[in-house]
Amino acid sequence: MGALVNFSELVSRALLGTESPAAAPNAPLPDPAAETAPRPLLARFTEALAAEHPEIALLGRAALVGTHERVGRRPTRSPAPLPDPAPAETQKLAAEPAQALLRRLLQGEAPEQLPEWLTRAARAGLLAAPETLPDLLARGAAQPDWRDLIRSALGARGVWLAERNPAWAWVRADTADAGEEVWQTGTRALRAAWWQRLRRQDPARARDLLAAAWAEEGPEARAAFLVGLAAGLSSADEEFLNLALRDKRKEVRREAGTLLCRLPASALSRRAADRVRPCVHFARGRWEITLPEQCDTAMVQDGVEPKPPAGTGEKAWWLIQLLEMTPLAEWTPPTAPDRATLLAQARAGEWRQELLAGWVRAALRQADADWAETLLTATWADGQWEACGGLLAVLPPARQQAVLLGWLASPGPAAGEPIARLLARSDPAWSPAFSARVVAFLRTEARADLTAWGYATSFTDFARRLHPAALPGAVAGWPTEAPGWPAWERRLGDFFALIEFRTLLHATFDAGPAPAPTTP
Amino acid sequence: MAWTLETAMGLAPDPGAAKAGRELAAPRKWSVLGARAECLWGAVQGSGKAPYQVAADLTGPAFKCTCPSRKFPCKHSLGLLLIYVQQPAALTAVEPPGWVAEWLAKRREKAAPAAAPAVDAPPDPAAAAKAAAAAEKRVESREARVTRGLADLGVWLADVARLGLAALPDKKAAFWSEPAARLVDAQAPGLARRLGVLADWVAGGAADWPERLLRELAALHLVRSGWARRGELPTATVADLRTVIGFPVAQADLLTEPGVRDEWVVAGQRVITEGAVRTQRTWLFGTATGRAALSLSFSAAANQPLDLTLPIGRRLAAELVFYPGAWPQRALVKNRQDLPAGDVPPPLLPHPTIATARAAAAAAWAANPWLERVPIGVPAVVPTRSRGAWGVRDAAGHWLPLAVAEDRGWALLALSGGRPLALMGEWEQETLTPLGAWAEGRWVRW
Repeated sequence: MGALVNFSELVSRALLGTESPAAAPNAPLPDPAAETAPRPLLARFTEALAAEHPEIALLGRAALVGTHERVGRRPTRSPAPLPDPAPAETQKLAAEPAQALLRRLLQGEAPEQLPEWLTRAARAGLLAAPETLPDLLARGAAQPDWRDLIRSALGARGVWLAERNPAWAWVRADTADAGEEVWQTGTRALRAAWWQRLRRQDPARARDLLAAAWAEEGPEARAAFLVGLAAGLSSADEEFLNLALRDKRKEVRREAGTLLCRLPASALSRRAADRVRPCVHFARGRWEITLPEQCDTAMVQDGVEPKPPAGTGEKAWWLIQLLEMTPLAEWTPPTAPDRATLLAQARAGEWRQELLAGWVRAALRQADADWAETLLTATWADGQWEACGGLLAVLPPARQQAVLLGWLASPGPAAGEPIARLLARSDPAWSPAFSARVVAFLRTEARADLTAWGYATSFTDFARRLHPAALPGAVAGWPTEAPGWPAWERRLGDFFALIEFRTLLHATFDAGPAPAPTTP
Repeated sequence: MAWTLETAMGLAPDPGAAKAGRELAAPRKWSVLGARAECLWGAVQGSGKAPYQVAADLTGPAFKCTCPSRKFPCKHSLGLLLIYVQQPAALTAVEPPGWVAEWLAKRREKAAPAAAPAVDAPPDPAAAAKAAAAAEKRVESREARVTRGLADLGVWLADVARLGLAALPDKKAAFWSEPAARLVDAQAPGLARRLGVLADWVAGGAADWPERLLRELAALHLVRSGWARRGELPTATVADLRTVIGFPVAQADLLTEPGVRDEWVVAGQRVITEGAVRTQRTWLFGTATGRAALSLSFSAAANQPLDLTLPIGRRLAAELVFYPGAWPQRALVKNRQDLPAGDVPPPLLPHPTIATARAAAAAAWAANPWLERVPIGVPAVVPTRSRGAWGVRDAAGHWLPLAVAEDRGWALLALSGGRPLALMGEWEQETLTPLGAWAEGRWVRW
């Protein structure tokens, strides 16, 4: 067993074991003379092992050859070329305390607050530390809504890094300077993001591009693009939308119909109004209703669903849908009484359910804030919480909060829970005063020892929505002496934890850049 | 030392305690919060009737809490420390209560003799001789046990070599655990550990397991044959043998030896968990001597925190006493004086190029074949990616493959910005595991 072998050859023998004939001492071995580089010292030591038992000799040679090969290995040449260096950064990194918070966010603590960190950093023109960029880029890939904020924290380094990984192509693809080749060749998500950006900047051009590519888009992409068309919607889009209204796919037709309903002058809106006019009259202070007699092909083509849901009459169902599509302005011509009066009279009459249902659907579909606000008084009084939630969503944040404030002022006996649920779904941009009012409401509920467990899961939704200025006040003043307080406190744990995290976040940015380190 | 969120959270004995500590890091929950110099205290309502009294001595760090938790530090101690790190302004009280002052005084008293070993009166010569004889006997019996244990190991190794490695995946757990247990009985814990992990390698089924396994079996074989011939071997090699077998070295004795004076920088740190034991490996480089040193800290239980005094980037003027060996690596820190954080200068890492780093690694293994890993510190390398694998290359075009997760590789590239950065890591299995990186004026723990 005197000949030299490589370590890999010894591994093959060791796998078989020394009792195997193939690995026996007299098995044929490579000729030492074939060695390209003579290893005299190693040869001498190996000789010395020849007299040992085969298994000892094998282990001894493994030790010798293994060490010999390990220490003799030369460094390999780099297979990859050097990357082009990133351009110099013009913005500063956020200070270390803020970076520490960012790391906590990226590690999964309070993940929903990442936009809050990014917003504060963007306002101060500060960037995320380079080593956190891959995490941020991955978030951006998963969360299109956060992309603009994430982009502002990436800096030149982040853009440079994203160019090197196809998974992060969103960084360039949905910026303004990305070329139209994204539209031609990009992935579905990238095309959608790029197109949405274009739609906000140049609605006509975005629509024309979409119309040109329409035949080749898949059905799901079509529906998604139509949702995006809501931004910058104008009567110039009608022709294209009329085409989409005849699409094979129902979701696409429905979406096109929704957008056409938002254009009061569109042919669809006018057809709907023409159909509804013979059915609904307001005269002598009351509503008179004649239900439609039939649902013809033209109506079905315009999106009227012939089959009613359970519990609704066929003709009433047709009427509700016609109301949904008729421009709400139809009911408030300059000469008619105001919305509130019209509504009050509708509620007093025989057809209150049909009229209300139709108008609620119309306010939602046409995104009409004025009508939504008026209808909310009715849906709230009737305890239609689901409809309240939908209608609230149509209102801009300030009006939403005004409505909710009114309800908070006189919630009624059992309305605490519905209010809380609506609060949890409301637009997150709460004003300082509104935030304080909500906290006061929760304190009252806690003091009254109401078992609020129906909405305990919403507590973190509240904590997330509080205005930063209201955070310090939100931890104090709780009725700690109330009998039900221990149960409340247990359930408010995450609420307080989130408030504290957010307080820390804002305090960290308020403190500004860390002072230069001083020598002790 | 300067506490950061990371160093504070590093104290948490387990993730549960970390989460609970974080929840308690809310000043609102505390009825008392105070700080003076390096001492913190507070009172927090727990499930008991009276609030828990908590105190922390940041110099240790050391903690005291009246709660019944067996974890150390407990969640209250962690919460207190986190408040100190995140919202120091909340620690409003300035006068420590009596029990805190008392506890601190006791701690200082206890710490004093350790810091400056007191000169004891010479012991009674007769008792000393008796003690020496007993110690010698203990040594003898341990050496004898090791000798027997290694003979056992030799038989097992020969069995494996005869059977063939291909037969190993079918072996039952006892095939591995029994010889490991016998090595523990033979007071060779170092070997028991190395043998104990082999079963996982085989079960893991990585493509190169036979090669790795044969290397390790060969290393164990070298211990056995080396031990038998220890009389003929150089002292340094015998010291390496004793280390790999697991003979303890009295740290107190070692600290009396002269050390290597230098300005050291902590360039990398890693904590690994094997069973219940956490081991923290901290690598320091001497800026003048170019020497690499390894400081180890162990935690065998949840109530034993790891050494926190050597965070990455820390610079210290100190004497490092190396454990004896042919390639001294592990060391103890003494006569230390921390240097100001200030502007961190570009690190002077000992291996100017990848080629010199490889040469140093080769020299280390040639001197001590039992080293499991060697440190590499290169001052200017660029992370690159080739066929889905991460590596670094230097100006000469040489390449070191990295053992990093995909996203951490991207993070390293981000940190570099495509320019050279300084990198410290552990070279093992022909790959480099990065532990610390320096770029644009700061150290980042990897």
